[in-house]
Amino acid sequence: MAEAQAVSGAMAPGITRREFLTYVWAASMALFMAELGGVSVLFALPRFKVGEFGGIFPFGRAGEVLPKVGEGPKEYPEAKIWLVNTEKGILAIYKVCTHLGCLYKWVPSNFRFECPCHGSKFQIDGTYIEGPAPRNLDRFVIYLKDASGRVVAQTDAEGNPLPVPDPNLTVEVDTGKKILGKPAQRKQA
Amino acid sequence: MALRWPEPIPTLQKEVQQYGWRRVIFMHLDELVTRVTAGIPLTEVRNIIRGEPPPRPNPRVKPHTEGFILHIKPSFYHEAVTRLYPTFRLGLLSFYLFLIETITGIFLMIFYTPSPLVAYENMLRILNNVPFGQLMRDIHRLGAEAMVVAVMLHMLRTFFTASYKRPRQFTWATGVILLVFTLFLSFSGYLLPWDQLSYWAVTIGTSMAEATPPPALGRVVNLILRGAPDIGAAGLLRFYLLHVIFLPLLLFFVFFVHYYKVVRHGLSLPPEMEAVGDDTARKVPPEKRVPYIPDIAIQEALWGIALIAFLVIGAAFFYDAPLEQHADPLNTPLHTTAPWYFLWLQGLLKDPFLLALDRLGLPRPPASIYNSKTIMGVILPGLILLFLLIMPYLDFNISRRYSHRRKALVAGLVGVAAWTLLTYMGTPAFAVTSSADVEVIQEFMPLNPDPLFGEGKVRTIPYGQLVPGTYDTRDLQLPTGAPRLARVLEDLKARIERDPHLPQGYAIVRISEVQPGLKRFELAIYFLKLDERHQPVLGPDGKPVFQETKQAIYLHRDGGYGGE
Amino acid sequence: MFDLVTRRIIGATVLMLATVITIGTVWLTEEQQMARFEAMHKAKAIENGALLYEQYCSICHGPGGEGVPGKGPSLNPGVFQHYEALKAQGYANSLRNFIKLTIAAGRPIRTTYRPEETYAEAMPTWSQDFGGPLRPDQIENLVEFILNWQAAGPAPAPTPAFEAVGSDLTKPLPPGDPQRGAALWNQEVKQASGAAASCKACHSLKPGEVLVGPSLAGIATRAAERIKAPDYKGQAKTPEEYIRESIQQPNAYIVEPDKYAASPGVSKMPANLGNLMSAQDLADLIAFLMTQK
Repeated sequence: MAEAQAVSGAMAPGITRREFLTYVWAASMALFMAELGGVSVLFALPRFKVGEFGGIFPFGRAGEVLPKVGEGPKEYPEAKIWLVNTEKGILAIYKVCTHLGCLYKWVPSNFRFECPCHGSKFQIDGTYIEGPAPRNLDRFVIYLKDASGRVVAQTDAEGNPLPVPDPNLTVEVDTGKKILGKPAQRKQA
Repeated sequence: MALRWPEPIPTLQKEVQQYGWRRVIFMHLDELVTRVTAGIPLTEVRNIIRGEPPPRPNPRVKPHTEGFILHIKPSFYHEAVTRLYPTFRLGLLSFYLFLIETITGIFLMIFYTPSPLVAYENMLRILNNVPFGQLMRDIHRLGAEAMVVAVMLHMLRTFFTASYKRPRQFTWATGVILLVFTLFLSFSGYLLPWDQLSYWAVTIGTSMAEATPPPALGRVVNLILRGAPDIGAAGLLRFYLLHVIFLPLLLFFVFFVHYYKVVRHGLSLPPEMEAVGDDTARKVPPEKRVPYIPDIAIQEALWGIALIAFLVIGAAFFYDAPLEQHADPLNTPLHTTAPWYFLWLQGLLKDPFLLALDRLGLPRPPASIYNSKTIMGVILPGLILLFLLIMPYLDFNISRRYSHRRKALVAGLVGVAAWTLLTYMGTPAFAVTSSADVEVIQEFMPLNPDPLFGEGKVRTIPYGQLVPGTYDTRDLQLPTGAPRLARVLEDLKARIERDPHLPQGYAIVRISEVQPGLKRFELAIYFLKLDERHQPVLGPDGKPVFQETKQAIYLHRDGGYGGE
Repeated sequence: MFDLVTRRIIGATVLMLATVITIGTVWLTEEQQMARFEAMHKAKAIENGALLYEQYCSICHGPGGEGVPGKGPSLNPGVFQHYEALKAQGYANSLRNFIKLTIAAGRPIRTTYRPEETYAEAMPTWSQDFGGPLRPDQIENLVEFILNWQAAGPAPAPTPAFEAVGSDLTKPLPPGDPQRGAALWNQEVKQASGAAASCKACHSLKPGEVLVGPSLAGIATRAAERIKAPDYKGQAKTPEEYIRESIQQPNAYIVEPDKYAASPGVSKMPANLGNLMSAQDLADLIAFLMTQK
């Protein structure tokens, strides 16, 4: 009997004024907590100024900062990237190995990137050659801007090489926008 | 009316078959709610919300015996202490403020490094590159000031309602310790922004510690506190550790001793409600009981929300935590003061204290006592503190009635008045004057925000109204289209001409643009040079000599002056 | 109408919603607010830098950064031109760092990056890190102030065409006007090059006061004694010629070399002052100095 009453009591339809107001109050507090959650996330989320890793790096005139096609890559340690110029276009490759986070090196005699930790090897455009790495090297988005600061071209969502139509454009790399490399194409043994 | 699971223990499938899914969901939910609330079933929760009277036996007292959070809270209050008078809920507010300070403080720590090299830069970053950074800092600062106020008022209230008397003497003593911790907690945070305000306020404050007798001990105390003869990287780190760990931990610990005593003895009733010498706080007749759940809980929640609303709205629209120029250990700004709650100490240490005594017809203390920073700055405050601590044990008047405590109440009011007077005497408005020309410059264009004049009138002129040119107050040619500049120049003229210490005084203001968007504002003040007999000093050509004082500041277009 | 508890619930709800709305308002304006602060903090840095510049730098680099010949090179636009020249030679650091480094650590030599420009003294170290008086944040403020010139775009005043006397001692001089010489000395009128004469930056007219070079009080009398001194190696025959020689060829004869030579045989006094003045300027200055008996 008591249990049956309990169930009906808890589910009784009549809502008193005080009960209704209490629910409104609870809703306002829930709203406040949700807002505080948003505030906390925004507060704690780091923001990067220009020139900090995670933010945008303006490198300068394309004609001056880019290596020549066929040359090795150019390293920018503060942006943690290698700037690479291939026939298809330019790439900003994240200088961290996709395997376990070591910093790989450019080996000019082999004309490829080699990781000192577990021996992963990559081509100059970041394509996987061999080793334990699971995917091609990661890339950052490059913007090409004209003198007025308008973005003329930018790296596409796939992270493909970006052709440079004019050496007078300014090269900027957004180290906050990382494009993961494609899964490694392992050779069949 | 506890629900019991039927034997044998059923599977979920059988339960649903037997009772239907609605009831099974209810039973499980009920179980969950009972566990979480430490003893209040779901139906009872709804009864509480609807304001129904509790059943017997009353499950609403269960959280007070079974739960962690409420086990320290009484399950009912005397009806007489649930109104604003006599408690004003100041103790509760102090505790809430401590919680809010802890939370906002932890958030601010995310972006703060205690090093003189970056601390100030961190402050700028919190303001210009952290969303809600300014709000968080303003709340933290406003909350700190509010906490000092709340704790002080709490102590006054306890004194005036005689709640410190037997058996609550020890509660009072722990409360005095909490007041001291609160003051030091606030003071230790003062240094962290590493601006001129904080650096010099803390330098003044810690100089007191150096006066601890005997001198050898004073030196040791000073070195331990500052980590060096003056405040630098070591001092900042020490103050940081005091502020974020040491003092909060101590305060937290003493708070629990204090609050346990409060609950143990019950909240004292208004003095007029009890027979003299009685303490009936623990003997609440059933008809006078106000249950904690839900009445007091709702009231406390309301106070908490009101406090949050006060801090958030105050910080968002009305209050900005000060941030002055970067700390400069080689340059003390004019009118430097300690934080307001230590101004009374400053007042004690100023010579005009003697004049105040003279005017009141009180005897002067001997110079050897008065001129000693040790006696006036350490021993006397120490004695005051000691007196506050043991005051309840020295009070043999058992009556709490106002009419029986005339002397104590008058003494209390005199104490408050003396504190207020000393605080006023501690401000730079009292007896810290430089020469008249320097005061004028400080009033109109201080290099660093001044406690009396703020940023100064010159910085209220919008950038566009700073018309380059030379303005002579003897023959003021007001610029057109620059009403604010004209106002300030007229104020300057009036200010100088009515100052008796600037005979035949005048000013020449030169405004020039030094860079695009940057103007130089030079104020030169001239006045007659007088000899000891107040006669003008004559130059070799027989003309009176004028003294010159010159100072320039720079104003940038984006400086935010004049409300732009 | 409402009982106490209900009133409290309503009050708490209203206050809670007010708080939510307040935070929401802050949320909406936060980006602009932060941008405003950023601009304001930069403005304050420039203002502070301007004060520091006036106090520490303007003596040698001029109040407007135009430079003081012989004492300090031009910063506006000099420092930006220097940087461009360095960059062309492969200097990889940024302009900001170039300025910051030069202020903080000074310069080891008395020449600028253009070897023909020599100054009386090398740029001292200013940062506390290197034994100077300024804190790191003050150096940053100075950098902001100097960069603010560039923000406006350098606008170098065109140098007027004139015939400089250079270091040629044989060129005949017109009659000198001591009045105009005094005005030149006091920088009330400019030299033919458009730059102010910088003599008083290093030489005082008070007896015995040494700024960088010796005091020129009584120089007319002393010049007459100097040319008769046994160790005098110059070619001057009259006091006027002695003064002329000192200005145009400061290395010809150095008085008290321990005090006034930058290195053996090289005076602290720049050798290129003649390039900034016409024959008339030189004659007027000499005429003025000859009044200092």
